Amino acid sequence: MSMNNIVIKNLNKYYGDFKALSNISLEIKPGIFGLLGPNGAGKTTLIRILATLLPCEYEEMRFGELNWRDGESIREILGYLPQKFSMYKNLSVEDALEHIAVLKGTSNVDEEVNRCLYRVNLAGERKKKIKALSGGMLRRFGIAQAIIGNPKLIIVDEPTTGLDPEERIKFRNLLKDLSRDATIIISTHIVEDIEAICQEVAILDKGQVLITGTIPELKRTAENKVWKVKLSEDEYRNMPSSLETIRSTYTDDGYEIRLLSENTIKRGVKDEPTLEDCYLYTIKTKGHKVG
Amino acid sequence: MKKKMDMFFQWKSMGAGAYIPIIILLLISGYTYFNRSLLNFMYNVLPMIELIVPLQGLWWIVFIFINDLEEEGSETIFSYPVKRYKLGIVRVIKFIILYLVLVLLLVYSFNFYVEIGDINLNTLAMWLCTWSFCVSSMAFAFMTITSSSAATIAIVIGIWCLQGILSFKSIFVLLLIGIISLILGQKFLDSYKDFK
Repeated sequence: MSMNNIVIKNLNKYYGDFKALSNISLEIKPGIFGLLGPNGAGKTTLIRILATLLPCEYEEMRFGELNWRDGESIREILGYLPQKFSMYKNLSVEDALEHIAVLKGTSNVDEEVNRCLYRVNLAGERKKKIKALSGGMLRRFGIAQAIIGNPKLIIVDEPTTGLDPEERIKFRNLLKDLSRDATIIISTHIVEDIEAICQEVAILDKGQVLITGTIPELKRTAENKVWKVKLSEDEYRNMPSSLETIRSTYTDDGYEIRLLSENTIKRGVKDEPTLEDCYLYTIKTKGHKVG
Repeated sequence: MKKKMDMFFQWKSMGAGAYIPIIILLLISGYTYFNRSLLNFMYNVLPMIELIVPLQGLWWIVFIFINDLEEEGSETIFSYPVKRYKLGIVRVIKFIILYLVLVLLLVYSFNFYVEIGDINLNTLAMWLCTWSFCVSSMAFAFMTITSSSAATIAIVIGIWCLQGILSFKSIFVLLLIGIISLILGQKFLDSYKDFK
């Protein structure tokens, strides 16, 4: 067990009588770790707990030598970007970052603000008011405030939601770049984001970790369960609704259907599972059991 | 070198809204200047400043917490390594002091251009400052309880109207309410987790 790992053992979170998170145990290695799950799975609650914003019960929660029981010490090395971020609308990008650098106790504020602006490619927008930034720029500003002070742990919640495809790719590359110096935890329901940048993943549903591992390990769980079938338009229209369709593509010969099935599919050809297949398979098979 | 959290930044982050209390106090001062007779001061200016000046005290307090409690993603500020009392009571007290200084300037400026007759400006200043302190502190408490600027303004105005009807006049009790509100506000901010 590396000293730089984040170790979480038996974490539980209650809202009154409702158990929002149940027996969460994870070991997060340096790099980018993804929390994947449908809406309402408990991702944001877990992220907020990791960001020291919500209290919870746990047996152990530490990052190397640092312990979540001492929230202040975690906040010293933390950069956090929530799902929705639009503070200090009346200020310029530069002024807001300066203030945040002061709040974070950074020495050499001006230097640090410059470094972060260049890192997220916002140096040209430094004088712009935050309320005038586009969605993509606002996310980059969010990352800039998170990386001020060179945090060792960066937590981002649904980082690419609402971004266009080009901005989404830029944002992923930025996170990949940042992971050289920090452990990054991202939570999302967008499988593509996880597949593009994460080394390890945990799939959450209904407050529980259903499965955790590297992306190849996760893909193996859906091996021999993914099928491709070619159907005519008539066959496609009359296809039984009980079949778990992942994707259907219209082709010159009719439809090409991608299915999840434990049993052999007539005329079907086995296909290599993707992370999306594994995600859907896990939610379908294990998600029902925890519900 | 490490810089400290400065009031100027807080001021800028309020945008144009930061100038409202100053503009209102200047308007009162201007009105008084052009209507400087003793009768006008007693029957028009005094009731007006007793109504408006303390209420204006809530303005800055509400505004400094809009970013921290009302905006989307405001939870971020609580993930920074800053003690919550610095985000709360320390900032509130700084802005209360700034407002009280403005109130004192307004009141004692009357000496220069108003026929004040037997009116004791010290007593007026003491009352206005006490009320302003009480209103500002209540604004802090209700802002942290409701996380809503609209609700806070409505509640504090409601309480203010009620005390007007009851003609409530005890400096000691007003100070006590102010201090309790400050403590309550900080307590709620310490355990605040109603993130947007």
